[in-house]
Amino acid sequence: MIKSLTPFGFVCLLGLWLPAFSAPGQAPDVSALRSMIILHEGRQKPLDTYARTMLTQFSGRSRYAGHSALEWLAKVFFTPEKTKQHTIFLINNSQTLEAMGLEPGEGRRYSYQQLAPGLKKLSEVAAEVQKIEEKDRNAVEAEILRIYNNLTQYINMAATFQFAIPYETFAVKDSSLAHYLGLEADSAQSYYSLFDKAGLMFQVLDTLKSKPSTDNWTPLEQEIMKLTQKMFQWSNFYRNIPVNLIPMMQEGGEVWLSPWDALNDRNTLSRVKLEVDALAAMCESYLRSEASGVKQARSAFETAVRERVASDIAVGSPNLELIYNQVNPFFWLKVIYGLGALLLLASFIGWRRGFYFSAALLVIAGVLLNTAGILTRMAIMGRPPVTNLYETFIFVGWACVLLGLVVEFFQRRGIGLLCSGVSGFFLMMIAGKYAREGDTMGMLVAVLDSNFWLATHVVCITLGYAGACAAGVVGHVYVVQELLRVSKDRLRDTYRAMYGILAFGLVFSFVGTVLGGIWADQSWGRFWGWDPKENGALLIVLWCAILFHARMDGIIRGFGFALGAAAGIMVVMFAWFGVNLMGVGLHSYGFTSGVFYRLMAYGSFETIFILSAWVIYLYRQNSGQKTS
Amino acid sequence: MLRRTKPVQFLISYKLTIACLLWLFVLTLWGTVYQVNHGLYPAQQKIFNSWIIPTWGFLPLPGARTILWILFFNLLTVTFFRFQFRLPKLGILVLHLGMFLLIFSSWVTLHFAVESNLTLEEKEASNVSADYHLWEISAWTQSFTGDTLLKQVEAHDLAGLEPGGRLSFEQHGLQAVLSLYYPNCRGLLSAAPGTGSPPPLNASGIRQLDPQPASQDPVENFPGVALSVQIPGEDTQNLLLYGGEGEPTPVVKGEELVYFQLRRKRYLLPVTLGLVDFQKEEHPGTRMARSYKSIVEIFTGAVHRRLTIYMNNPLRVEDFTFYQASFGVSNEGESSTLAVVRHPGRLLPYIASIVVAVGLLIHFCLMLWKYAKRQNGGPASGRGARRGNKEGKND
Repeated sequence: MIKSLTPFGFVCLLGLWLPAFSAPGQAPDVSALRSMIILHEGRQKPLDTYARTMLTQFSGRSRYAGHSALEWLAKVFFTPEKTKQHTIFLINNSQTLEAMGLEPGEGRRYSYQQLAPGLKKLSEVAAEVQKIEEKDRNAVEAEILRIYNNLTQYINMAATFQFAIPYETFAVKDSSLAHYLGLEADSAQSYYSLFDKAGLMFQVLDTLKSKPSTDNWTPLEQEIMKLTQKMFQWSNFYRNIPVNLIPMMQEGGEVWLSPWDALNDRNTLSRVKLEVDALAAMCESYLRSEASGVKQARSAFETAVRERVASDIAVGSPNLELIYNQVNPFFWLKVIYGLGALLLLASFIGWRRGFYFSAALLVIAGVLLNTAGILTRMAIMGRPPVTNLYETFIFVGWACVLLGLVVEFFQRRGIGLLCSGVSGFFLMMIAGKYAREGDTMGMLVAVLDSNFWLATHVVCITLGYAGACAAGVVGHVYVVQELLRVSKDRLRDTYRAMYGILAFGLVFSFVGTVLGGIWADQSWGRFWGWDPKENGALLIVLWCAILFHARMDGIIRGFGFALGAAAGIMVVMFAWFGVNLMGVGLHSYGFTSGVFYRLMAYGSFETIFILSAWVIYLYRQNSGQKTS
Repeated sequence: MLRRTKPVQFLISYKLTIACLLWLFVLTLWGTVYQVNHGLYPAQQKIFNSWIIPTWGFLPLPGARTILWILFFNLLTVTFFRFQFRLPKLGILVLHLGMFLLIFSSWVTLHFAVESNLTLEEKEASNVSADYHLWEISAWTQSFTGDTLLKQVEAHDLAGLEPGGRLSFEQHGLQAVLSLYYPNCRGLLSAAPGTGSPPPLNASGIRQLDPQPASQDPVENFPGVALSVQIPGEDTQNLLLYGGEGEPTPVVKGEELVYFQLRRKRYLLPVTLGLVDFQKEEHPGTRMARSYKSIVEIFTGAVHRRLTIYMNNPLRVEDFTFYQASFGVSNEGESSTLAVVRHPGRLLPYIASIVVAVGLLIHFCLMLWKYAKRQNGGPASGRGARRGNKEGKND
């Protein structure tokens, strides 16, 4: 949900980010904050995950300038002024900058300071773009909304702890007032430190009712009025900051609040005062570079939360997710599978034994890591392995690798390993792109919230995708082998692998499609409705059925079957996420942006490959050259 | 002998199967892309449920219905004339039997399944559901029994009616003549200039119907009709009925009022369903629905019981199934929309799926057994190699 910030609001925020009086020389260790729980997009997650998600979403990277995402987040929270120059906003399309009235600079990443002059224009354009249906937006419009959304979230994050950061604007100049309030005179104060003294200030303000003319006010009274007016301005402005750290039960159920939500409602604050105190102490410790203070405040916060809500709200334990974040398996799997594929290819050139076994070890290690990663995600979310588009890629990648290993176990020709390495690498690469769109462990819409169907239909369909994709990869290998005129024995083994894997894909695609029909009957009242996603699955089944029947009848032979299997990858790509681009149908929960051109590029490459291979094959046939 | 005849040879050919599957592939792709700009319903009507697809004004291409029938006969003749009824082929046979049943079940669904919907506000009950696309001209008298509104309804389907057609409402002793019918129109509150005759009766004050081009998606069409209602012993009443208005138009007949309305076609349900409470739970901190459910009471005769309908957990009563489809929130409170499907052949796809699954399992087990025998150097290993079995051999 995009928070609408008025241009005035932007200017205010710019003005309010005054240099903190006591910014730290060196940031303290914030590892104690890793396990702190935040509610974001409907899910309780550790701050570590939140930091990684937000930084990846903004910049496409999970670290900034050698610092971890959590360290970056702590800076945004506690010293926002210092992060204005951080070049964290990735802009994919230079026309977006032109729409903001800015000149494109060097590089693709920009800082808030660079983008700030164009914020007013951006908010106006974004408001217009919001009125356009998502499926009708072009790439620039989608990018404009993405940048606007990112900037808004950044501004909200930067505003979260403003209440606890000392500012000169709240410095108490009058020494008698400072003494009255028990604060240090002429020293920057935070909003919260004055908020705590509100009772004392209101006592003075009450007496001003009998002094309508400000000419009769004492300097103390005048300063109290100025301070309270500034505080009032802040409390009016800092509302609806959706950085939700404090859980509580209200009449409507469970809610999570930001510190500002608590400060802006006295009844709420009275219930969560200890937590707000702890958060303020956390900020103060950070600003004094006291890691132990940060840790203490973190513990105090957690203790206060658990004591207050233990019986009402299940606040999760994030340890498993922290380990998952630390290991980051699906990042390393790209490297492992890619390296495995390269080593396997090298084994065809020389030192076969050494390269072959290295490749095999890498791929086996990869599939074990892949399995562990998937199981960990299942344990964290309490759900079957495939619930969103990102998870389809990591699961299909895993299944393709496994299929390749099974083939390799029986044949020991290297084809299976090659299939594993290549498909695993490409699918993890694609998964990595989707990881940039936000938290990959999102919440499910109501109709998807069924562990039984997620475990059956979705798993079967994705296994079907895996079979068709893996068969397509082996199909490419067969085509190349055929054109290179390898021995009949090798060709036969490749053919058998391709045939067997495609049969696996057909069976699971079909079973998954049928299970989907049964689920649709349970949810929507009809077994089949020609929904685009249903049609996509049917296309895979039909394509595989066509190939098998054509092979049985002798219309196509090994080479034709291989070309068909290779083309089958295009069918799978269309069914998998091509239909999401259409933005219609009951399955349009997996809508993504920017995929269309990549799909077209892949389809063009594949078509050129298939047609070229076919032409060469036909030429050889016609010129009487020996073929298999 | 029959096997060698040309028609049978044609029907059992793999090429026919492949051609049908290929064309079905093209139709599925075409229909999917067609939906983007035209919507699901027009795609279903034009491509998936049609016999012939007229293309470019002159070229008739076979629709999915034609292809599925051809596939059905192809499969039927293959079963009788080509299939080998031997143990190794048992799985394939059972699998294709399941395919039969699937195609058959699609025919049953097309002809017998009826989809409608029922929207209830909290504390409201009803025993009728409304069609999504079809309309009816209904007439009723009503009375209250306690809190319950009882209606004595007679209705005529709008489909198939033409101007000049006579409608008889025997229960209410009335006859009507349809003088005007627009499949899609707007209701105008002002009459065209120059019309001197008294305005027609209409509850919303509509004086004229303004015809509009019909939308491809019938959900977006609002028809309008003009009726001349002949009341015995009284003057003929001219009515204008518009599908976009919610209020019925009352006609005085003696001491009672007879209400006329052009409304979505109604279906009588086997039970009365009342919405006790609609509950929606969102994921905390978001507007995304985590779950939504309707707590309903169903009344069958003197017995009533309470139960919950929610996503993936429909209510089944006789041939009817009620699914949680949607909801609404207004100043008056919350409402729940249930999708209602009447489908006597609902279990057929399940049976077909089970048969296919059994066939796959049998085939898989037989293949596994054959492979194991081959690995152990059994007789199957040599035989398969000598015969040059096409499956798994690169020839």
